[in-house]
Amino acid sequence: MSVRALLLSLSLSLPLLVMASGCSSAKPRPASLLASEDPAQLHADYAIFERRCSKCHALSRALESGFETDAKWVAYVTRMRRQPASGITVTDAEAILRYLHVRVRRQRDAKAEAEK
Amino acid sequence: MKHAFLLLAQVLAIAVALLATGAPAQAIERTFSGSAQLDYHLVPSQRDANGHAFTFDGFTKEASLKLAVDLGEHVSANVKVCVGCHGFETDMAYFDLRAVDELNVRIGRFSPSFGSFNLRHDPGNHKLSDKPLPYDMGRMLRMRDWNMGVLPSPFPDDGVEMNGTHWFADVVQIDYAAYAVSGFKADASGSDLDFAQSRGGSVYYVDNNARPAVGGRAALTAKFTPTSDMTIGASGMHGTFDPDNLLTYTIIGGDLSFRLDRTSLRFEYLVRRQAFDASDPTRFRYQVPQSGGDFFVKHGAYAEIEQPLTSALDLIVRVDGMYRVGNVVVGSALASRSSVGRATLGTAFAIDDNVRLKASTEVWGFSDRDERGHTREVSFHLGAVATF
Repeated sequence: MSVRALLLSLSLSLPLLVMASGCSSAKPRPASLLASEDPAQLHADYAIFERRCSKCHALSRALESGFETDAKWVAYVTRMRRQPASGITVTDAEAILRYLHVRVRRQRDAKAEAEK
Repeated sequence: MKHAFLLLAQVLAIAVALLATGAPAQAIERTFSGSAQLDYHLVPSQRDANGHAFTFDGFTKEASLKLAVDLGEHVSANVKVCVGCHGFETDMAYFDLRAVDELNVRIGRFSPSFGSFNLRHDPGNHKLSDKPLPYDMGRMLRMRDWNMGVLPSPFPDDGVEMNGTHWFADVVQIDYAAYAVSGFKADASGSDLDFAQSRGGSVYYVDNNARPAVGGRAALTAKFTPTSDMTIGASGMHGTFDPDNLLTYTIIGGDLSFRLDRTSLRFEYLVRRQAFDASDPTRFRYQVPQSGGDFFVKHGAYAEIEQPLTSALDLIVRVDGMYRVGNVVVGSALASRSSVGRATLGTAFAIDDNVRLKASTEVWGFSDRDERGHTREVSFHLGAVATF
């Protein structure tokens, strides 16, 4: 094998190796904390949150922000909505906030349950 | 130029007046965020200790900490500090005075609105270890020969920007921005922009020619479905870079991107017309014509697709390149027409909600032979990025 062919095969194998390891141990995105029996509207709200917010950054950037009040989320989502080419309308922002409200409430409930 | 400043002053006065009539201030909200990336760039063909003339191979790090403060309904502030190849720098330090969605005045230090990539320039927000070639800032091979990209990103500068966004019927979003900033710098005899001088403190953090650079951007986003959209944008920037205020640079760009459910497709093109001091023709390799020989043109473009393969793994394929036309100084490795092309295959794997591994392979092709006679190279990136 020529040095060039060796380099080329190495070059292709590196990302493929990572890809293979990724596929074999696929880890979910940050959990939506939604259940299948939740209303379809809430699942639709999550879909908008997931597709819109991951356009520019990882979902964890938002979900790990530590905000626990609706007021903080409103300020945060409004700032994101105003970003150029965000694709987030006022209606989208309302859907995103509906989902985040439920998520924060469930996180709080889970935490309280764990502390019992 | 004088009229532009008068207009800007009027807009600022209107914004302040609108703010004064707005709602009382809310409680101050502070949001911290940040990212850190460590990347190893392996270039198998480079084994000498003088690699930095060629590229930043080896480890590079980029870390940032950002504080966003909402001082009220209409006033916010952002400060972002970074540690990277240049050392400790202030990437952002500005106030936003927002009257309405359609009218915001940004004052301070910020990257002026140009193109689509710069919004994602933080390594926590783009999935490959390095930037597209038109925006490269030191990770491209032969970076000294090329003096990096068309517009190395980020490009923080001091100045004022007016921007805004407006939706039409929840279907079309229009964004605009217009700004005046200090602009790039170089010495009077510079044959290209001096990006180190432009962003560093070697000649103070002030404009070197007392003439702002001006520019703007307009973009239109159309939504196909609640989760899919398309954005088309155009940007421009013009200024002088020398202390005598004689030598100009003009950068224009166009971008087109699609977000189709979870798939992102992006195309972007930039071109810079760069004047240089040709008063001493002996500095240049080629004969300097009587007219039209005092500038070069540098084109750059990229196309990329980002496709999630699983819930934790993204595949990124990118093709990018640059093409330079114009005279070069004696000793330059470039010719009057030089090109570089690159194909990248990369993956980003989330090992945790906040931590991603990035791996990519780049195959390079150059129009000019290096001292070994090579026109092709292969390089690898392996990095990890964490965000919060």
